[in-house]
Amino acid sequence: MLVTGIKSKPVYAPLQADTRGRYHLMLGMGVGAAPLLRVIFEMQSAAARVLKNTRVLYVPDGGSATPEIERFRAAAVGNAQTFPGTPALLEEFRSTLARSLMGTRLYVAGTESFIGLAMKIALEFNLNKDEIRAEECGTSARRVYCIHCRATTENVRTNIASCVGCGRWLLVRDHYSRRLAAYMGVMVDAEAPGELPPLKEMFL
Amino acid sequence: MSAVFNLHETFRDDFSYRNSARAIRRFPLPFSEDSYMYSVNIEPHLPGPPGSVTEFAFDVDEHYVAECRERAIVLAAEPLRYQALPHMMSSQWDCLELIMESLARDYPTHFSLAKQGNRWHWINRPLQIDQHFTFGDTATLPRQPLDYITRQAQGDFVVMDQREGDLWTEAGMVTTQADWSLDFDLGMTFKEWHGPVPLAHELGVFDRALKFLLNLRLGQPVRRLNWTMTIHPRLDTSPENYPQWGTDRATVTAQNAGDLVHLRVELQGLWRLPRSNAIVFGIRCYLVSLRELATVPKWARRVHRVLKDLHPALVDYKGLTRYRDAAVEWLAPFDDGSPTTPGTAPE
Repeated sequence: MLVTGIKSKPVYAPLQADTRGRYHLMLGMGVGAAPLLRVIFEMQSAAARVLKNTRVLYVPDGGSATPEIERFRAAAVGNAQTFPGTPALLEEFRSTLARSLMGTRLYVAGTESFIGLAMKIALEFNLNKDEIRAEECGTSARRVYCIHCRATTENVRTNIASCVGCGRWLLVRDHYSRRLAAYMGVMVDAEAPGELPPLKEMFL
Repeated sequence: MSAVFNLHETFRDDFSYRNSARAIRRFPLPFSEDSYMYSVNIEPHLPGPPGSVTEFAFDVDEHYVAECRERAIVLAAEPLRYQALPHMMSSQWDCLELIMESLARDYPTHFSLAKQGNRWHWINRPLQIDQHFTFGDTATLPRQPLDYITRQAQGDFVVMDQREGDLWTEAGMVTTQADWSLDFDLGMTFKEWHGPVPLAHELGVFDRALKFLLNLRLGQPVRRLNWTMTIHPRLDTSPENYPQWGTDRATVTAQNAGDLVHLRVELQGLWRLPRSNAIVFGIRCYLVSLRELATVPKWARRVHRVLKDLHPALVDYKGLTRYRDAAVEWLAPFDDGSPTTPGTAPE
């Protein structure tokens, strides 16, 4: 169950300033603010002018909104916006990509699920792998796609989870789809109905 | 081959599928020795001996009509078992051409293809289809080209687009699969798609297979065999329908294993496609019950030994955990310990 053993989970370039890019689009949530600020400080010392062409879209954790967004603004980032939740941020991300310019670099920092959802949209717009950087931080809770009813259950932290769509207990397989931004969930007691393994916290 | 089709056999409910004595003798046993481990067992897809499953590009056998009917049943309930990303249309026509030309050439009593420029006339006698259409014009066919032609073929088909030094699973007809999902895997790279396979990544199998396939040439198709086991002659062992077939695995005993447990062999063929430069990956499934298999003494001994000593990770991955011991016990009386001759021939 080691994350490194999952062959279908993509590996992204580590988050660092890519000053060859003309525009820099940063997506962050929660503790993802820290790595994004680290990149911004790198830019400040390397090529401060690129900060004018840098845009940050950010979903704060409940409560601590002001300090982080203020830090982005204090760092002279051209444009920093907060969003009440991931869906609103992704909607803005999608419309930004729709009118995006050549030479844009994408930086994503947040949970595995957040990165996955952002990449799903990047994939729809055919962004190249070398235009994308991502850093995982925060919870490794999984999005799980039920292969039986096709519903997606969010924030799964345990080895098995009850599907929000069909109620079956799903085993979370180590098989990841970028297109669906989710792991595969398969009925765990299909061979012996009612025989469930003990519930264990796995993805914290 | 002048196949007589088993018109009424089924792969669900009463499972009336059976192999004739001739079908058993030509069964593609995947074990050339008494033990098994993964390897890049790819070879040129050259014509095999008359009557063998590799005599022609695509093998049409006694199960043809029943398998096409089974595919239609699956698709009626789950249309997403066929999917193609929009940029795959050129490769869809490539596939249609490959399958129609092969079938018409190799089985002229069953299929014909006449061409006048782009105006084609296709006749499929076993399925009673007579279709005029314009090659390249999707509006002249009742379905997308890949959907249309693979409903008239045995086995699953996956089309892989080649770009960025990788192969991308981006179209397919998958209704007879061994526990993998096209819906989930659509859009994956070659190694992502094979992610769940144990051991083989570490053995470098997929590195070498990918490298080999990226250089696959037009007109030089290749093939390999793969295998697993299935309870009942059930073609649709998809993860989607695992809740329907999973319980079967718990019903096997050493007494009924001969009839319930089937060796499931995939004859996998890979062809480079001319216009799209994509690769079509045909996965043709053959099923034989242990009782049918045991009519060939050499095969009974060999399969008994392979199953008995199979690597635990493969037992788990192939889903044999609950019934492997029962199958081994059922086969044991057929194994007197005498040596088997090399190769897979029935002896």
